[in-house]
Amino acid sequence: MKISLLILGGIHSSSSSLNALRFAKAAIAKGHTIYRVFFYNEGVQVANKLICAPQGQTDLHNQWAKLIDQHQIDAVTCIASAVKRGIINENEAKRYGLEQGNLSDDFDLSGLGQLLDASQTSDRLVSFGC
Amino acid sequence: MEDSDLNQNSTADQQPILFILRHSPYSSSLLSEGLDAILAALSYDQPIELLIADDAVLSLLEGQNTEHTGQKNIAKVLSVLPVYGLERIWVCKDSVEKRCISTDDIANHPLPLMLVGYDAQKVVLNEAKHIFNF
Repeated sequence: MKISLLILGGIHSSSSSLNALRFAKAAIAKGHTIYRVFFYNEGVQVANKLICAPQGQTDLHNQWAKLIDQHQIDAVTCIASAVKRGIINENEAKRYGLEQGNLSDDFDLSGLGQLLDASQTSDRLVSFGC
Repeated sequence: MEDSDLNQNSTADQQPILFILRHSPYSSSLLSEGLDAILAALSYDQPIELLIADDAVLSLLEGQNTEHTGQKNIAKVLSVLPVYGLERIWVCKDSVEKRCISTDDIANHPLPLMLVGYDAQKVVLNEAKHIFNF
């Protein structure tokens, strides 16, 4: 089955990113395909490569980046949600006159059209964080 | 995929995407960003349904003024949805009554609101291809 995920919760204010990560791993292990993971609202936080996870806690950023890389998952961070929360890639950083970007290379920055496409193309769309 | 492909794929007889707004209008950005997603779906000509329930029904109150709070006026965003082609908005009757909002206010609201009980909501949920919750 082709599955897409919508992640709305932040990494500390909610367990949604962690739940989604575990769901994605379980779905892949069962032979399903993750068509796209769309990070929206507070969900975009996890794409920040400057996150330093406390010892003994799941490093959500690294875990997501690893999963995305391993399975070549299309991971999209909503540009409108991300930029206003300070999650920004090098290109956008330049455009806004900022010194640096912090978006991990594993995550793309794109628009809501990608969420709608995911909904149109996937058999299931599973939301986390709301 | 290019955004233009999305337009070509959409047809009138498609199963709708259901958006459910459940959170209060000004305590977080969920409702506001949910509305952004709805506007995006409408601008791509996707068939959608909208259900407003729980604390989100507070966004239907008249006289919202965010001039001094620096937040986006949710009522104003809601008011443009019919302009973008949204034909009706389902509103959870139980949520309205629990918050002591007058059902007459809902009936006389300028938006095309349809006050519905849980049985009708079940039908709307069952008919949706996918459900987005905000």
